Amino acid sequence: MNLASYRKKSPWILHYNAGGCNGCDIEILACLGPKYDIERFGMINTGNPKQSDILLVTGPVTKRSRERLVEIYAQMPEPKVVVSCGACACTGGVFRGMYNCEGGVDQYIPVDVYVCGCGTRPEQIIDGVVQALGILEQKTKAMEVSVRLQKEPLKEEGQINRRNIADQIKPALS
Amino acid sequence: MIVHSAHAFLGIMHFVSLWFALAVLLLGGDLILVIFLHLLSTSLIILAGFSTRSIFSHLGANRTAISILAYEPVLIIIAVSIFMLTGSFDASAAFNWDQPLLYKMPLAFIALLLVLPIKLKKSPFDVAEAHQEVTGGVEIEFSGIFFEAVYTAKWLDYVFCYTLVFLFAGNNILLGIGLMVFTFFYLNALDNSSARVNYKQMLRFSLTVSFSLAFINLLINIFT
Amino acid sequence: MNDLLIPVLLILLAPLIGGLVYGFERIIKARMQRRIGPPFITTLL
Repeated sequence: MNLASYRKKSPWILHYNAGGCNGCDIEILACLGPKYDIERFGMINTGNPKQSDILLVTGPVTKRSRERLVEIYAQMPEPKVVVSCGACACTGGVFRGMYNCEGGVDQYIPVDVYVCGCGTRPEQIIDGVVQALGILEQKTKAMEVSVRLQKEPLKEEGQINRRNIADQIKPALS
Repeated sequence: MIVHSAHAFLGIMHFVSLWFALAVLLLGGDLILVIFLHLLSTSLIILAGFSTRSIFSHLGANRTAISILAYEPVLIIIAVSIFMLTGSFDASAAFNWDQPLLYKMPLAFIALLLVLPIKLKKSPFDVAEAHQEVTGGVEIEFSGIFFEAVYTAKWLDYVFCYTLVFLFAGNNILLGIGLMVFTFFYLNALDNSSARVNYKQMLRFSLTVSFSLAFINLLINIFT
Repeated sequence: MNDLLIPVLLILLAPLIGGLVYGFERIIKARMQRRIGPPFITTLL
């Protein structure tokens, strides 16, 4: 029984507002409501980065929020997918070029899916998250293939460990 | 991703000891032993919450300790009144009792219904978990397979609580299933229709209303 | 022997039963809020 193959079927979503106007956040919360019920795909909106798979970011990344954004991204376990929601998060939007922000989320963390619109429609958000699920599946598979000279990743106690691979391939290089 | 090994170990031990408590209950063991084994498993997760440096984890551990203070005395009183009725602390004595315990101790069942939302972290009394407020309480620092253990322990808690409800039906299995279904819909309706209270209100409500209901039931069972 | 069979089965299957109860509860809770709710069997198959 391979637990990693079930990861796609119940993704947990983390939502972070990096200094936006709350328009996109209201649309994301509308996804949870009765009309666009995102829970029917098995998704849960959590507030905890350590237990979530998909990060939904809204808003241009302001100076105050960018350290928190990077910290939250670093706290999420692999594999992780970032979805940037809204024009501000994709490119900076109307705030592009201002002194307190630098055009978009992808200046700081890698973004996998861009969802356009100001503010984004709930249908678009659901579509973006469903596309992110495909990327999550690819990343899950990519974690299991070998890296660096096709060395097989070590499996210790059921978990994949890549830490000591460099030591092991050093004799092979010299 | 783990914080440190003791934290992950306490999470796993929480799951194991809760499963052990459930096994003792289902095999008809001593009710006091079952309640204290459940207390042991909850105190393990409290220790796990205090062993990290996250303030949300500490807050959740504090709130879990307070919720123990709210539900534990009521459960003890219910166990003592089952002893007064059947003459034995064993759960098997209650399972094999010829008439349903519900008819003899209805007030204790109401007290159990008022206490179950605290135990299962349902909405009027879910201060220990408090979804977006403290984001899960003690389980905030768990991740990966160790969070799976804590999450499965939550599922085991459901079986534990519904077995406690089933205890009230004696050897009448149909009534027991009816009580479990009733409790299920009651808990969900309560969860959907009520807002979260703070911990002082929870403690006051539990220690005045639920505790005194269970205690009156105990007095009735002693003197009749 | 037969008395012990049902409790031991319940103990061994307790995480599975609890998970099913939890999933069913999420569906019931969603139906009470007029949502569709999560699919019942997806996490298992």
